[in-house]
Amino acid sequence: MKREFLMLLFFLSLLVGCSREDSILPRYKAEKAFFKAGKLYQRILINPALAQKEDYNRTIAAYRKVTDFESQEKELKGLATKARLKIAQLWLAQKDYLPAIDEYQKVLEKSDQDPDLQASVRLSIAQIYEEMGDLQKAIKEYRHLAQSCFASSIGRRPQKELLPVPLQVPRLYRRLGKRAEDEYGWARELYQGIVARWPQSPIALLAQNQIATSYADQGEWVKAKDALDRIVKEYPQSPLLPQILFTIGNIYAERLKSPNQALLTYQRILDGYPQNPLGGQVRLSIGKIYGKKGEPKRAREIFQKVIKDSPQDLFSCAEAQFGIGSSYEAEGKWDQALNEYRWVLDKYPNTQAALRVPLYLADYYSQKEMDELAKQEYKRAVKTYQGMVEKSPKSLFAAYAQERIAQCYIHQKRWKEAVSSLWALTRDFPPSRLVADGYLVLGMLYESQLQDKPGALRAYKEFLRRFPHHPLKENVQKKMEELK
Amino acid sequence: MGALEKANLFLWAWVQSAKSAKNLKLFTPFLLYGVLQGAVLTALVYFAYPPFSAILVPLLRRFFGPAALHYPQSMIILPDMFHRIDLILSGIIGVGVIGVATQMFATRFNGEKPQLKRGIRRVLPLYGILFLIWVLETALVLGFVVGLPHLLAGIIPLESRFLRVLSTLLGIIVGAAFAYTSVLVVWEGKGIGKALKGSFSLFGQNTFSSFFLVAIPTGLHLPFDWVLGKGNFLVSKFTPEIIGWLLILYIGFSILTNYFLIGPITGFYLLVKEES
Repeated sequence: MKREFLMLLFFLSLLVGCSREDSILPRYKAEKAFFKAGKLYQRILINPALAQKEDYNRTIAAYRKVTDFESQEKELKGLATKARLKIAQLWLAQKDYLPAIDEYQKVLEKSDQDPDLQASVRLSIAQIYEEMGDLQKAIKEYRHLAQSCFASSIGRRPQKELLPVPLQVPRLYRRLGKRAEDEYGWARELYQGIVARWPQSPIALLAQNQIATSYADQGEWVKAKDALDRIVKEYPQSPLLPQILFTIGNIYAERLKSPNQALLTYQRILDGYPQNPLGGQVRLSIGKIYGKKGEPKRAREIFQKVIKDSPQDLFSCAEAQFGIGSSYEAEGKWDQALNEYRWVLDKYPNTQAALRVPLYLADYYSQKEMDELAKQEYKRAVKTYQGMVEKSPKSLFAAYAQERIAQCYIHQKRWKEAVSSLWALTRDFPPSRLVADGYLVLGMLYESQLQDKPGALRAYKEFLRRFPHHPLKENVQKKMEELK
Repeated sequence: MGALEKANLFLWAWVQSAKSAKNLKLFTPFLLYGVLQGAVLTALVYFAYPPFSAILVPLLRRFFGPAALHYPQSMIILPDMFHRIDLILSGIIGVGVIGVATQMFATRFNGEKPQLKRGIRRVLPLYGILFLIWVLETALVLGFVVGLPHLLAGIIPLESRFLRVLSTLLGIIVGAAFAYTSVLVVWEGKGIGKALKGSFSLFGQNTFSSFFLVAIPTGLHLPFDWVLGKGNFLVSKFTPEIIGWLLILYIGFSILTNYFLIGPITGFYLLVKEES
């Protein structure tokens, strides 16, 4: 019995001793650490606004533990990379840009074998520099990324997410106040390279679209339209064609002032793609052209068709309803126009068209110098906008409504009420372009209308605190120096 | 024997077992089996760590695929892995445990002192018969619980609740038909053929009592099975380790349900024998 037991023990120790399966242990431990860190990360994501600094620190430390297991083993390397990407995201969520860039740099150093990952990390770094307002470094990163992904020497087909990168270089040049003709040319060369290397492919179509966008950026609308025409000619089967034709139609209508060409292009969409969801918007544009051409009755008929045929497209229906009002107004039938405008508010209350109506009506009476009616209408407009704010507080739509309240007071030259509405806009809503503009308008009102320099300084100071990387940062700083 | 008398015997078998629970010695076979299950569970939870990794990593890779070696997937499939190994364990060790427990219960119900050693000594020479009966019973239960749903897959969806209930019911019926084999082999010293014949005949005469003797303890496990089947949910809402803790609870609970499975069956058999 004792001999059998000893033999069994020997056999077991041989099995354990010879096994190489211990090698999965570091990977398993790393996975466990990654999972636990993921749980902490999810907790932050549930409500980022409530997350405290220590929550972020704890999560970053948890992910850091994963990187401690890093070795040359492929799976461990992959996990460590994922952990570093999460750490970078956590720094970014705290608007702590430099440690995020450091983390991304570490990913770049350790993942030299994966060009797709390298590209997306470089893109993130460039975007961070842009967000930080360090446009020179952002340009350098975008340029490097564009060269490494799109240059003709690179044999790989580029990722479509990276296509806007070359165009970002001239755009940032312009934000620096520099001329960017050469940079636009450089970007177009890269895009043309893609079109030439992978003709008739989806990536070539998108590159051609970027060429059109680059011309549009420079205001060269004929060239932009020609670039889009090339897509229509070369990719007749593309599902993107209705959208491309719609853009061409818009260029004709709004930029080249060729309403007849626009109408032909729009009609081509309606004839060729009768079931396309763009139908409502296309008809809306046709109606607007007839309105501008002084054919209100025809415009109205088309707007009515939009409402009838595209009831699911609320944006187009609301705009068409507004257009019907405008058509009556053009015919001098104000009472009917008023009815139609009010109908926008009743039927499409959560649309941009509805936001436009109250202030539009008040301004109408004000321009016609019907002072008493204008006063009543501004009062009614403020009440309507307040209702919109109360209905969905903190939303972007409510922020727009709050901004309109300020506009109502500004149009009536009631500066103190205007200032108070703008402070409410900056105080009650999350940061957005609208809120940033709110601070700037506040500063201007304090300066020019209320002659209140401390008030203006307070608005500008608050603007810089909340939007430290805003493109107008330097102008505001200058303004503050002057005020001091 | 009338239905009322049968119901009376059924209840009396339960009361007798419940009263005997004061004698903790009767729990010893189940407790030892629970310790063994706990050891298996520990090995499965720590499969990636030496010395378990040497044996378990190749085995898990072979039978559950490479995904089983990753966290938290390893925890999600832990109940499945545990139940499969437990099935093998119940064949190798469990039949003996049931035999010993049956011997101890019968001794106790006869007014004598139950002894673990005596039980083991009695069961060891009968292990082969008990194992063969277990093979037969397990094959039939698996046939109904696993095979039947696959057989009917074309007619009824595999995930249908009706099919699950039906296969569980059939599994319990098979269990009830084999319920008395252990007491017939261990206590009466019958051979495989006579034990099977005796058990089936007793089941035929006391179908409802036999069914509920097996169904009640089995049914008590169903909530556990349901919760443990929600591995993905448990992992996403709590921590993966909760599955391990639930299995520990399951093992502890099984000690109790096994007691109330073997005790009442043995008691019921002896009472029916006495009556007839």
